[in-house]
Formats: sequence, structure tokens, C-alpha cells
Amino acid sequence: MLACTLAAALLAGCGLTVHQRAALLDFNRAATEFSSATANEFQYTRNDVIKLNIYRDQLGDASLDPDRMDGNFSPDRLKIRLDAMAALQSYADLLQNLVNGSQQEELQSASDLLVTNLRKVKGVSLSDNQAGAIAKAVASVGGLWVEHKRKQATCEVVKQADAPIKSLLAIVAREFRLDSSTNWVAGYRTTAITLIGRAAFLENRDTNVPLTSLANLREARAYARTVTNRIDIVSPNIISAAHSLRAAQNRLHSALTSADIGTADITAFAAQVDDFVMLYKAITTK
Amino acid sequence: MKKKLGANALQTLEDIVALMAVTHDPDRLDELEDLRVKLTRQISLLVDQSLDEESKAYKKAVAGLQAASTTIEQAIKGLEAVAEAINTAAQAVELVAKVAAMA
Repeated sequence: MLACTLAAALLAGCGLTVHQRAALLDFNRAATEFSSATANEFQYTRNDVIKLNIYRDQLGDASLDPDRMDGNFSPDRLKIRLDAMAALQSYADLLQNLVNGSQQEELQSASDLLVTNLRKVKGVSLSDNQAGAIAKAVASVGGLWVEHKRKQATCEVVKQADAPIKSLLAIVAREFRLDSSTNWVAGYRTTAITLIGRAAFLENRDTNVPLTSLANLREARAYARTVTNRIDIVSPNIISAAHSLRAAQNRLHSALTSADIGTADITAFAAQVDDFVMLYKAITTK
Repeated sequence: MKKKLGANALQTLEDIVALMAVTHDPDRLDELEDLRVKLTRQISLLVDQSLDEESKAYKKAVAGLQAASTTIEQAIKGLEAVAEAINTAAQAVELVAKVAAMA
């Protein structure tokens, strides 16, 4: 009993605070939503490129490689990006399980079993009050130990994941920058822009083009313009969400290593990611 | 040098396409079309190289995240072990009770 009281006193206050738990859950919700929306965008852009290239093929575009209708977005390249988003999501889910998972019921039933078996021992006599107190003490010390270990593990994991998460978010941000001609989004925009060019050539070069062909190339050009307009809105928002998640990761790291640092920022950064996901869903629903 | 070239390539393609939209002279259009085809192919090659480089960076980041996820799985198992330890103690006490009853 004395050992239990001593252990309880030593471990008291060693677990995650309510605010730290809330910050971790906010961070993980944001990471999950970000990874899901970004994975969707990688898949969406590839599907769009195939559609744009079908138009280019119909318009006889000489710059199209007919063996690569998915352009720069091969299945292997797409898979690597989807795997990366899945890894981020898996990390977020596991971290949530670590923070949220409760062993309280298991601890209580294990403690009850211990007391029940203790009562069967010859010569041991326990009143209901004594039995209840022992079960409660065993469960609470077990619970404090669990909370202590939970915090230790969470701090270690957040520290360990810090560099890979920041690196991953930086790559996503690079791939969606609109001022590059060589990234993922450049592959997407090039396909749309060159289609607009091919349509303009056919429309202006041959004044006797049949009306049906004219309708087709105008439809193709209209679709290509929709593509560039959409990605011009989506790209800066993905980058902004990646920056918010990176800032949240920074604060999370600090909040877990120092009780003096507030967790309100993490909630605010997570809310920015939520805003992006809402906007993304609104403009990407076909 | 390659990066600088790439940075301007897409903007140049946009300029060529904008010019094509307002050009009606057949010879001039043919020249612009030729440029569009060449530049599109060139950008595609640059994008291919860049995406492969980024793919390597993704793989490295994923390996780091997977290591962190493995640590979490081990930690969760460690937490579950506390209840298991109490259960083991309870089974030991039951065994003691049985032995004592036989005596």
C-alpha cells in the first residue's frame, strides 16, 4: 500500500496535460485532412491529364507521346506520392491511438481479478472496503504509469517525426508552386496550356475547318481553361496548408517539451488546414 | 542553368499560346506551332527529371515517418503490457490460492 502511494506521488503530474492532448488531437486531425486532400489532388490531376491528352490526340497534337497518355504522371510516380500521403495519415492515426487510447477499463478489470484471487488465498481476509481500496490503488498506479509512459513515448515520437514531416511538407509545397516549370503542377499546366495552343492553331490556321471539329476544339479549349483556373486557386492553398501544418508541427514539438509554451497556436494552425480542405472540396467537386 | 531555363519555359509557352490565339497569318502560325511542339516536349523532359528527384525525396521522408510509426506501435504495446502485468500477477495469486487450498 505504501509502495502504491509512493509510486502514485512520484508519477503524479507526469502525464500529458489536457491542453497538450487537445493540441495533439488538433494536429492529427489537420494532418489527416491535409494528407487526404493532397492525395486526392495528385490522383485528380493525373485523371485530368489523361482527359486533356485525349483531347490533344483528337486534335492531332504532334507534341503528344501517344504511349504516355498520362504524360509525366506515370502510375509509379503517382504511387510514390499517394504512399507518402498514406504514411502521413498512418502516422497521424497511430499518434492519435497513442494519445487517445485508454487502458483504464483493462486496468480496472485486471485489478479486480487480482483482488478476487487474493481473497481466495487461505488466511487472507479482506473486507469489501479493503478489497475496493486495493483494487483502486492498483488500477490508479497502473494508470499513472501508463500516462507517464504515454507522455514519454509521445514526446519521443513527435521529436523523431519532426524532420521527416517537415521534409515531406516541403516537397509537397515545392510540387505545387506555380512559379516553377519543372514540378508536378507544371506538368499539369503545360498539358492544359499546350492544348489551348493546339486548339488556337487549328482554329486560326484552317478557316474551312468543319463545324463539328470547331465545336470539339472549342470544347477542348474550354476544358483546358477550367483546368488552369482551378489549379491556380488550388495550388497556393495547398502550399498554405502545408506551411500551416509545418508551423503546427513546430509548436507541437515545443509544447510537448515545455509546459510554458501555449497550445492555442496549434489549434489555430489546424483550423487553417480545415479552411483549406473546405475550400478544396468546394472547388474540386465535379 | 537547367533550373533557370526551366523556370522560364512554361511562361514562354504561355506567351507563345497567347500569340497563337491572335495570329491569323499561316506562315507565322506554323512557326509558332513548331515552337509550341518543341517547347512542350522540352518542358516534359524537365518535368520528368524533376519528378524523379522529388520521388527520391518522398521515399526518404516516408522511411523516417515509418520509423516514427513503428516507435508508436511499440509504445502502445508497452502501455497494454501494464494491464497484462497485473493480470499475470492475478494468475500467480490464483495459483498460490490453489496450492494453499491443497495444503
